[in-house]
Formats: sequence, structure tokens, C-alpha cells
Amino acid sequence: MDTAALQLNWLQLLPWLIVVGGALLVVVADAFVARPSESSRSAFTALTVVVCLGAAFVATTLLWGRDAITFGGMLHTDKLTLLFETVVLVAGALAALVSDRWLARHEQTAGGYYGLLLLSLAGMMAFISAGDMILLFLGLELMSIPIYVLAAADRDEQESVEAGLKYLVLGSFATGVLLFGLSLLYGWAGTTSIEGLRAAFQTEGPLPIYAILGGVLALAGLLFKVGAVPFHMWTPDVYEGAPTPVTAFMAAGVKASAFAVLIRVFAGPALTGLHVSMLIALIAALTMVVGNVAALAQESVKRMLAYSSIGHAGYMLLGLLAGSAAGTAAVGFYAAAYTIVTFVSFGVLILLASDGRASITYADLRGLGTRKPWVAILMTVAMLSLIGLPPTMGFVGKFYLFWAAVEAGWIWLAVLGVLTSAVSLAYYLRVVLVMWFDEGEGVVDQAGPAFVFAMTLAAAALLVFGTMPSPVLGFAMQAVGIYF
Amino acid sequence: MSILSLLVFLPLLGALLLLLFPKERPDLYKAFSLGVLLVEFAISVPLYFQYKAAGFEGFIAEESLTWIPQWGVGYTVGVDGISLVLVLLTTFLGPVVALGAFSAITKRHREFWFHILLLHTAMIGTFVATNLLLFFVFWELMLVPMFFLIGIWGGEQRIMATVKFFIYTAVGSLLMLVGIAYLGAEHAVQTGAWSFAFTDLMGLSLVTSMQLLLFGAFALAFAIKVPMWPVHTWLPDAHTEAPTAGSVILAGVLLKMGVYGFVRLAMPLFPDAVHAATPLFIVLAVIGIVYGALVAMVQPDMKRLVAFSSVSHLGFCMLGLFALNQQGMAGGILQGLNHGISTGALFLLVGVVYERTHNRAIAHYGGIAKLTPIYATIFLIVTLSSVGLPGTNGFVGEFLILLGAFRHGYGTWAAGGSFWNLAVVGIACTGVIFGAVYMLWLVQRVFFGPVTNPSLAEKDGHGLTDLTPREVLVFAPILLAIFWVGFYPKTLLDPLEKPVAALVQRVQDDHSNPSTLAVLDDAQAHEGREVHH
Repeated sequence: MDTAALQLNWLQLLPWLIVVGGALLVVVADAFVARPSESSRSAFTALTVVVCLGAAFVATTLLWGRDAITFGGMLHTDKLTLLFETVVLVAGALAALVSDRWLARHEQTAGGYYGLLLLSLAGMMAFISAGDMILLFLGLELMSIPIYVLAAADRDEQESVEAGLKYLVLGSFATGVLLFGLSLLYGWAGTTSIEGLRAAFQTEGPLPIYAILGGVLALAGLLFKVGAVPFHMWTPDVYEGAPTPVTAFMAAGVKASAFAVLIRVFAGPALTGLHVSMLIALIAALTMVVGNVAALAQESVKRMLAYSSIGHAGYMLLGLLAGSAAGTAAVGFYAAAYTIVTFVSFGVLILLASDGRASITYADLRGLGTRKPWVAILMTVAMLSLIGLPPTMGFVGKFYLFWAAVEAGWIWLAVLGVLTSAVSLAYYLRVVLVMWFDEGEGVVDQAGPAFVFAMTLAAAALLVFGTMPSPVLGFAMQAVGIYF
Repeated sequence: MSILSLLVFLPLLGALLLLLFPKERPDLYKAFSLGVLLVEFAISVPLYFQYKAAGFEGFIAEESLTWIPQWGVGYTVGVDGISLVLVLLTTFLGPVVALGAFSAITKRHREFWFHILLLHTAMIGTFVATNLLLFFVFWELMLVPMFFLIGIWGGEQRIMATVKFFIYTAVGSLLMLVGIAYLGAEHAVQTGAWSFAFTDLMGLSLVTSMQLLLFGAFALAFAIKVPMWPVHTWLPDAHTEAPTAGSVILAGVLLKMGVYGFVRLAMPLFPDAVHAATPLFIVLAVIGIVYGALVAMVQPDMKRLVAFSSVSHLGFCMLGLFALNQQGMAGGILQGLNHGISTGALFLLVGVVYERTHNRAIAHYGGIAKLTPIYATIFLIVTLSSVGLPGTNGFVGEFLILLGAFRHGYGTWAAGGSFWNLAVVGIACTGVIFGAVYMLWLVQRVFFGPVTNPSLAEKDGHGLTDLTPREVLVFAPILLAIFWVGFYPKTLLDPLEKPVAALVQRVQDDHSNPSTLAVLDDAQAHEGREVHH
């Protein structure tokens, strides 16, 4: 450990400090500041959260071009960190904006909810920027524990409580597996530094069996968070049972963070050194197939989105597997695209559940195109992006992933990828179909201006960056540039 | 901004402006959209003269802007003779379709015109793109408005039809996407730089086995779009269920994209594979010709009859392309244009009576020439052009195709190939006869003889009335085009000549990988030489 790196550079920690400060502020303010009504209190808190995340975002941009390794090698604020921090901050801000409506309907206290959301976000940021196994583990726990609670936030609903409990039990087990893997790796590499670990992976000659075992266990722990098959069993129940904004936050934020760490630990030569490519290829293939095929059979749209999110994790694994700069950058791009599209699609579901139901079926979407054209347009854009049709970010991301896979010689996986995309057509198209071609009745919540603004902005981003992807692509390429 | 970019993005701009229009003003939407499409036509015509000034050679109106520098792909557009005539077909049919749809659409007006305009952006974009990625973006973009056009304004089975159309086309294109990715990656391997430009990718040297796989991926996407037998099954449903405007655009332009895809991409990119696949594609094309004609003959529904006739006609186009010589290929492309004009007109004509009676069954009509003389005259002219009567456009295309196909078949046979090569072209000729049979029989049953359905003759407003002046205006440019191309095909053959010659040259001679020459049997090599001298 060189002494220069030991300096405590608080500027590098600024975004994280802002988020943690915001979490404390929200909890305290909620308890002590009197507000005229519960709903205005909730709106006020949501606003505070968004302002806080905006500040954190500004702080993140301040760090652009100031790559540094600080706190004794613990904290890596490089471009990879900044890319994924931006993604999770966007996920957090969108979650805050869509939560307001949900909270108002369920008469939940805003302080605790938003406090947990911000704490989880702080965990993600630590997780993403960890340069050391210790911080990595702390970040993972700080990210996960608040989400266990949030998943059960709808205390009166049995499904929500079940979701929270299920996620807690299985999540803890996965964390244990990860921890076990990391300790084996530490025993082999003799360092807790991730840089050291990557260097060890790339040494000549065959790795000892316990190193491979450690690597595979660590991978398994991370793949659990991603929701890859066969570690996906929790996903549908938890996604469906949890409050919809929390589901969106999980699907987007947790997945993105886990991929960031997968890149940090395993990207490129490190994965090749571990000689588990075939295993990951198999997992990716299964993930794409199971996610997309299972989604076909769902009647609940939320559950369909949950299964399809498994499929999307499979596509992203292709990029990681390719191990090239292009593939890894594609993962970054896809994470950004998926975060945005997740909020648009789940946001629409929140609007639809005006009578408090958690489960929205295809039938509830009937005639939305004539009842609420704007909402239907947003949902249509989201579905097109999920299918991967141009001109959306989903297309650019998928093409980039498949391209990287082909380039790396994984042609059969790319073909499987497009075939499963073809399967996904059936259920995503069904959403578009019932919205525009069927007639139907049903109440839809009047969306607040902030909500509509956020959703519209997100859908516009899908189209704009789908047509002109180069700023985001450039960002993603620079982000992974540190490893290639 | 070049004239091509203007052509591509003007309809998109129009579609977006349409969203700002006041509510419930269908007349305003119609007039505005028609105006946009007329302007499109007006700015596309000078392109022809610009190309003429360039000696009907190379690409014109090229534009290249930075788009995604990270992938080495720009926004690059340009037209040569082949894409030019297709762009002109699109801009020509645009106002005709719009004018024809004035009274047919009765609900959700603003959305309808939005999708029509968006569709034009996608179609023109597909024809003018000069790199694969841009091409694919427009190619896929086209699906979305068409999906809505059929699904919202279509007939009773519209949802089944539109889903079938969408899934067929999208799934077909997905494997092409992997092919595109492979070509991009291969270009990086071979030259060190990423590129998707058509011209750059043609410089790649690919082994025959890889060419065959890639050709398969591309050809599947295009064959579905054409559609070739046996992947044509989406077409009868989509054409029949679509609203008239949708059917006309489907038949007129979208099917031509399949033909265009073969000519622009699948054939020049993988010349060796084309040689290997030619016998198969000729057989599929001929099956399509005969099968489409026979099935069309027994249809009780006029629109479905016209839809199946498309399968037969497009079979001719493909037969011409895979003759791999100047006459056949030029004829194939020309016949594509003719089909766009004639079959487009037939769909419009069926739409006219459907709008009045809401019935498309042939048995519902009979002897209506007495009631609607103008309509009957136009219908007959269009029918004759579709059948290929000399003096109409259809004759020129069919003649060139059969000439090319015979030269190919005879050349292969004379060089020691099987007699089957020639016989199959003979079978294709029966398609011309069958074509005359089903079309003329249709005309006879619908128009001639006594009026079989008295309700049609009622004068109280429920009967069948002749064309309105607006409808005559719709058909006037089509009739003009039918005779113009029939008597003076040079207008369209001139721009096609040199690009097609270059393509024939490429397919016949260019084998970027010398080792693949062995794949060519002597017969085909011989036939290649013969054509050139």
C-alpha cells in the first residue's frame, strides 16, 4: 500500500456523503418538522430526495477527469465508478419521483421509506466504487438490507411481506456464498485489493482449484443479485410482491450495481484467466431462454416484466463474456438503457394501479391508447426499447452486445440472443396490442406533473439516445477504458 | 442538408407537427398530410434529372455526417439508379394513397396520418441509406407504423393479421442483425477499422461457407419481405385485412424492399453464395409464380385474389433477379415497380367498391359495368397492365424477365447442365397465362353480364355509384404511369442500366477469395462469360 494513496480525499467521497447526509436529513425532518398533511409531507420529502440526488449528480460530474484511488486503495473513483454512479443516481431519482404516488395511496410514512431508499443508494455507490473486497462487501450489505425492508414496505399485503422475507433469506444466503468465495480468493491471492486479485487471475499457468472455486462462488454471489439463472428463483415473487417503485429500483439499480462489480472484478483478461468462460456462456444461455420463455406464460404484467428482466440480465452477460472493451462498454450502455426503460414501464403500472391493486393484468391495459394516449405512448416506447427495435436505446444496446459476442467468437450465443428476442416479441407486443387495438374501461390515476415530466423525459431519452447514441457510448467506452 | 435527407425527414417533421394540430379536425390533417406528400414528390423528381446529368452512373446526392463515430458508422445516404427509381415509386404512390384514403378512414384520424407520414420516412430512409446500420434502423422502423395501420384501421381479422405480419418480418430480420454484426466485426479484423458502409463491406474476403451462412441470414429477411414461397403466408392476411392505404403501401413499396434488399445487399455482398443458391431460388420463385396464380384463381374475395396475385408477380421479380444477367435483373426491378403501380391500383380499386358496399365478395357483384362505366374502364385498363398486355407497363417487365430467365436456362443447359434448367423457365411462363385467367375471369364475373345483385342498382343512395372526381384524380396519375412505362420504358430502364450492369459484373466475376472459385461449376462460369460478350 503506497502512502500517496493513503490520503483521505474527501472530495472523492462527496457524492456518497451527500446521499448519506440526505438519508439522515430525510429521516430526521420527517420526524420533527410538522407538515399540514401526510400527502404534502410525502411530496416535500420526495422533493428533498430529488434535490439531494441532483446535488450528488453534480458532485459526480465534478469528479470527471479526476480519477483517483484514495483511502488506502479502498475507494476507486474512476470513470467506471462515475458511469454506474450516474446510472444508479438516475434510478434513485426516478424511484423517488414514482414513489410519491404509491406512498400517498398506501398511507405510508415518507421519511422511513425515502431514508431507506437513499441508504440503499449509498450502498450501491460504495459497492460500485469499491477497490477492495472489504468495502465491496460493506457496500453490498448496505445496498441489500434496506431493500429487504423496502420490499416488505406494504405491510398489510401478504405478498409484500413474503417478498421481503424471501429476498432476505435468499439474499443473505447469496451474500454468504459471495463472502466465502472472497475469503478463498483472499487466501489464495494474499490480498484484499481487487487490483491485486485481478493481477493474480492473470498469472501464467493453471490456477489452483481453491482459487477457481473462490472465483466461481464470488461470481455466483454476484449473479444472484443480477438474477441470472439458476440463481433467479427469487426474482418473480420478490418483484411481484414488492411495491412497484421498489421493484423498479431493484430491477434497475441493483442489477446495474452488480454488473459494475462484475466488470470491476472479472472484466476482460481476469475472466479469461479464471477459465470459466464456458460456464458463464451456459448461464447466459439459460438466463436468456428461461427469462423470456417464462415471461410468455404470465398474465400479470408486473410478473411478465420480472421474468423479462431475467432475460435482459442474460443479454448483458454476453457483453461480460465477450471480455472485450466493446462488450464491457456494451454492458454499461445496456445498464443505462435498461434503467431508464424500467422506470417508464413500471411507472405506467403505478399509474394503472389506482385502486390499490398490486397486480396489473393485460386486460387492465385495454384501450389505454384511447383513454390515456400519452401514457400509452410512453408505454409503447418502453416496449419497443425492451424488444430492441430502432430507434431506441434498447436496439443500440442489444446490437452492441450481440456484436461484441460475435466479435469474440460467441456466434451461437448471439444467435440464441436474437432468437430469444424473437420470443420476447410475443409478450411485449401483446402490451402494445391491447393498449391500442382493444377497447376497454378502467380508471387510471391522474398523474402529477412531476411524474409525467419524469416519465416523458425518460421516454425521450430512450428515443434521443437511441437515435444519437454516441454521447452515452463514448461515456461507456471511456468508463471501461481503464481495463483495456 | 442534402435533398435526400430532406426527403427522409420531411415526413417525420410533418408527423410531429401533426401532433400539435387542434383536436378533431380531420379535414386539416388530410390536407396537411397530402401537402407534405406532394412536396415530397415535387422534390424527388429533380433527382431523376440530376442522375441523368450524371450520365446515369454512380451515386448522386450523397451526404455523409458523423453519427456514431465509436462504431465507425456515419449517417450516409445516396442514391444510384436502383434506389432512385424506388424512391420515385414511393413518392409517387404517397399522394395517390393519401388522396385515396380521404373518405376511407372514419376514426382516429390524427393517428392514421401520423403513421402514414412516419412510414414514408422509414421507407425512403431504407432506400437511400448507404450503410448497413442505417439501413437496418429504417428497415425495422417501418414495422411500427405498419403494425398500427393494419391493427387499428384494418378489417375483422386485423389483429391476427398484424401480429403475423410483425412477428414474421421482425423475426426474419433478427438473424440479419447477427449477420450485420458479423460483417462489422469481420471488417475490423481484416482492415483494422470498423465500418458498415456497403462499399467497404463488399471489399471483404469471405470463405464460401461463411458467405452461405450470411447469405442465408440476409436472404431470409428479404425473402419474407418479398415474399417468396414458402414464407409468404403473412401476406394474404396482411394485405386483405389492412385498410386500402395500408395494402397499397404494402404491395407498392414494402414488398419492393425485399427485392431491393437482394439487389443492394444479399447479392453483391455474397456473390459466391448467390451462385450456389441460384438453382434453389429459381425453383422457389417458379413455385411462387404458379402457386400464387392458382390460389388467386379460386379466391372468392377480390382483395384476397389481388393479394395472392402479388405472390405470383413477386415470383417473377425474383426469377428475373436470379437469372443473374442484365435483362433478367433489370426486368426484375422494373417489374417490381410495375407491380407497385398496377397492384397498388388494384387495391385502390377494390377499396373504392368496398367503401360503398362494405363487401368484397366477388359473388356480391356482377354486371356492374352498366352501373359504373368509368370505374369499369379503369379497372379493365389496370387489369390488362397487371396481366402484361403489350403497350402497358406489365408487358415490358415480364418480357425482360422471361428473356433473361431463358438466356440463363439455355446457357446452363447448353453448357452441359440439366435440361431442368430450361424446363423450369417454361413452367414459369404458364404463370403469365394463369395470370390472364384469374384477372380476366375476375373482371368478367364482376363487371359483365346482367346485374345480378339488384340492391347495387338502387338509386336511393344505397346503390353502387360511379367514381367521384376525387377518385378519378387518384387514378389519373396511375393510368398515365401505366402507359408511359408501357410505351417508353426507357425512362426507367436508363437509370437501371449501369447499376445493374455493375451488379451483374460483381455477381458473375468477382470472387474476392480465389479458393472459392472451385465452387462454381463450369456451366455457370461459362454462362457468365457468354453474357458479357
